[in-house]
Amino acid sequence: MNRDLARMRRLDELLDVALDGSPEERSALLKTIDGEDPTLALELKQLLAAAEKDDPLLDGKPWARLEPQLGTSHAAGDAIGPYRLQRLLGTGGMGEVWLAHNEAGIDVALKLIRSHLSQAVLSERLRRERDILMRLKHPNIARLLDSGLSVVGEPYLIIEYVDGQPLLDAAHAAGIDVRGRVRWMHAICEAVAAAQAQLVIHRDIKPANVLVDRTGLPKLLDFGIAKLLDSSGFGGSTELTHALGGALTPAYAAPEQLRGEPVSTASDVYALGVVLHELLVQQRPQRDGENLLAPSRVALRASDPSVRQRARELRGDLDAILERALQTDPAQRYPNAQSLAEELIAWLEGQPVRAREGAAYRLVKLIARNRVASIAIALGLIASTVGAIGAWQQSHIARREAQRAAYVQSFLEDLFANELPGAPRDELPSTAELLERGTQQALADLDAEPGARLSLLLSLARIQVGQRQWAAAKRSFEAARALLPEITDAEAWRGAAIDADLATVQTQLEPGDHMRGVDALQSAVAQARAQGAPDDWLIGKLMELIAANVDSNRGDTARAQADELLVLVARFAPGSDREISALTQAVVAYSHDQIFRPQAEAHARRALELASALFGEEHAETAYASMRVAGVLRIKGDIAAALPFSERAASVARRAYPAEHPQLARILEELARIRIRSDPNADTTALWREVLAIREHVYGLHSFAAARSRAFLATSLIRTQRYSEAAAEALRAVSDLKREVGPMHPAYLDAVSYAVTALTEEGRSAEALALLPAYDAHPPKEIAGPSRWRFFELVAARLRLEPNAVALQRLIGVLAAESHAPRDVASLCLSIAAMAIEQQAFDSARAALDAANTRIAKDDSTKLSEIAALLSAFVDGPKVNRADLRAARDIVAARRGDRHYAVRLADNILYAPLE
Amino acid sequence: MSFFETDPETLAPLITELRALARSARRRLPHGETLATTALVNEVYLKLSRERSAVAVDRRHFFALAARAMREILIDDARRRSARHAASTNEDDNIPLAPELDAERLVDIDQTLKALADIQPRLAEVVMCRFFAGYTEEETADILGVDVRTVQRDWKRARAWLGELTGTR
Repeated sequence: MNRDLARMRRLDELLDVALDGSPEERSALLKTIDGEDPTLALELKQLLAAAEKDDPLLDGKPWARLEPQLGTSHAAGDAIGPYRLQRLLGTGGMGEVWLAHNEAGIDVALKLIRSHLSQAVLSERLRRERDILMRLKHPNIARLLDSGLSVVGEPYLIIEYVDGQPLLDAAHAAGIDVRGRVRWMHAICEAVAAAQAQLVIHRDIKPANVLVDRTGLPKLLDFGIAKLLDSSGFGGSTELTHALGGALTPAYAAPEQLRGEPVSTASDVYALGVVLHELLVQQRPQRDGENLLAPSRVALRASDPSVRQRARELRGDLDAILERALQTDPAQRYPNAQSLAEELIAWLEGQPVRAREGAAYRLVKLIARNRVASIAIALGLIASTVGAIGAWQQSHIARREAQRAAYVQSFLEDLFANELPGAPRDELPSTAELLERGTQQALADLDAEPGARLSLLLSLARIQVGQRQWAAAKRSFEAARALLPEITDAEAWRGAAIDADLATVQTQLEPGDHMRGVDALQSAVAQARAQGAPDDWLIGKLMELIAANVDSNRGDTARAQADELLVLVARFAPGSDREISALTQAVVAYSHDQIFRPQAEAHARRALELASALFGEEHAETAYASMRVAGVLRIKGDIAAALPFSERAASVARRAYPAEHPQLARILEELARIRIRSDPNADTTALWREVLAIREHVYGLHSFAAARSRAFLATSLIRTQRYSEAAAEALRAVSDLKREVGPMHPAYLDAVSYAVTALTEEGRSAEALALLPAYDAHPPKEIAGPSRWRFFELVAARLRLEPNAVALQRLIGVLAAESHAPRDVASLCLSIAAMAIEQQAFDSARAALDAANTRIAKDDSTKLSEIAALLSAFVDGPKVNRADLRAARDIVAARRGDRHYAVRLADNILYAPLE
Repeated sequence: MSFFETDPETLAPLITELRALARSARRRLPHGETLATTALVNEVYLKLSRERSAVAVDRRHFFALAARAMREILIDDARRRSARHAASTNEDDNIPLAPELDAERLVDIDQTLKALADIQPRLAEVVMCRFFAGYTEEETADILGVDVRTVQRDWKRARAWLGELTGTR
């Protein structure tokens, strides 16, 4: 069956009519179609036959027939990998757990992961998480020993076998008192804390996940498994996650988890709180609206007398501990399991608990008058001015940071001046070297507190990023991260912040895996944010994320982040240059999709206002902001409004930027485009020459950027009829582009078409023909984008120079069968129709017009339908009004920018003798 | 609403719930009776609404998502069966069991859904609801926001297309 979509849709319509009618109507319809298109009729018949056929699968209930395996998939004695199954221990939401023997005959727990996530995704995640999870060694954690994929591709985990009972059953069976229960809980908290120190969040803490073995040791299971199967990401919550709470066990999930917000160590604390509550009072926490009912009170009302007896012990301190752990606002809870663990110890030892104290921790306690400390402070200062330099920064922001780097250099020179006494200033080593040296000195100082060392490493890393020394930066960040656990009062978010920086650096080192880098960055930022990262840091990271998401085509995410960013900046640094940067990023995010452009315009205008206010009218920032407004207005189509902004941007830029700055080129280019849109007769050659000169200087004489600018220069020369210059420039562009991007790139094809136009005007048809593809050339199937129809355009250009009726027909046939880019193909077909008319090949013209008409939407605003109508009238009717023809010529010229062909055609038609 | 636009990973919790419930429902079923999938989805829906009393869950939307989840479960199992069958080394047994054949065909049908959606999106949606999820004509009409007659016509056509595009082995 012909898989052409348009055809299939047609068949579907006919099928609907046929199935809905009586048998007589059906055969009448078939006969009619058979008359017009026998193949179609045959296909319709086949479909009708398929509709009538009995099909037990389609007509039945697949659930009944296939019995999706809800029972166990294996039996005792089965081998999975090197393990042999002994007996089923249980089934849970995530799959079956079997007792198995390894090759040495030792008991292990084998957990088959049943998830609908594709095996590829799951095994990839397992691979990534495995190393971290396997490092979790703690007496209260059931260790992950191994993982693998079975022969049929089922992922499994090998976990230390715990011969014991689930927590609540064990507590009941052992009949232990409140102190005993708290001691068990403390052990569990310690386990979670150990994992959190390794940056692992459990996410699915519940009593069923704690087994108590025969020696009374509680062991926590399923670490990080929830994360493997889960997919919470920053800004990615959907209605379903919202509805289902994004957690595998909603009852134990923290409120923010249920809302689909990012998970943090505080979320684990919540779950621990629920478990503790249940352990003590045998019920889950009860709320009255937002307020927690005091656990001691709940105990008093229990039906079980042994629970009631506990109420007195619970009153007071344990109530307070539970209340803090179960706060709905994560910021009010214990920030991590460690602090909850400490609290429980305090209770056990009869110490006063700190449940009322605030949870603020500080990163570095400054040590007075210590040289290491003062270097740390100095570098800390520098680091904060250098800021969070992300790899995806737009040149605008990076430029400002680069200015700061100069400041850094001189600061360091001052700082280290007394290290190298007597050395003349211009013999001082570079910033990087100074830093390395200074850092090594400081690190070697054994008295240095880990906090100060951390601060140094981070500063070094950031400056290495600024210098684009990615591998070195990665080493520094990793070293910093390794130090983090040593710092007992580190702020919770620092770990995630370092992860974010590592994600950024990793993308530079592995540019092929872009998407993964963005995801990693996003989740690290989310984590840090959940753990209390400050606004300042968040602002920088959000800007980075927006740029990355726009690059990855995630418009929705980018816009949501832009909104957040603006709110943050308005709160943190309103009216500052950071707000300008933020607004610029918002413009980028909002320009991406059509319907959001009004907001983009609003943001761009505001950025310009701010820039003028902060920097004055004659500043590069203001020029750039002005250009942004012009750009947004141009995309919107309001050229008249765009022009003054663009003119202003250009004139300021010429004065404010150094002579050969790439930004200046960009601004001038924008001006050239807008001028042409505003007045097609404008002469933009001087502008393009300026642009070209800058790009040659910055990127190289034969670079892609320069060649592309050269091609545009050629078009401006064509517009002003300087054909021999145009031909020269175009030919140079053609050869450079062919070498830089190859013969299938749209830029190359464009350049060829400009060259052909210029050469034709010069009468150098032979040279033009040499550049054009052969009549029957076809673009390869993989080429689907703009290259495709540009290629065909060049074939048409050949047919213009060397008419060939057969080839013309064939080309039209090929185009009629194209399923890509309908509007571009339509435009091309109209052009070919005009050419066919000129060559008196009226049948071909009609065919081309048909091909065009099927692709022009009824509400198309680009006047294609008008041109089509005019051309049809000419083909089928005897006389065409000259005024109409002139109008058509102008439309064609304006639309295609190729006034010469259109002019020639129309002139021939206009001035040829009419019958 | 387009059935193909949801990130399948967000269905994870729903699928887990459905499986768990289906398992316990299956145990309670008298032998020979088939699982009433609509009732299953309904139970999950009710459970959700109880636990998430603060947030109203849109019933229609939920059922649509459940249809997707059911499809995922079925296809996952079908693939597993096919893979296991392909991996079996018993060379004497050349005749695959009917369920394995059906499993392969099911995977085939699933892959054809995209083509169906290209022809007309509702065709694929009706297949998801009527076939994969096992909803009745009325339930399907409600979820998709059309009348029953339209569902019937769509199903007839979808069936014809599926028969033609996937064929029998």
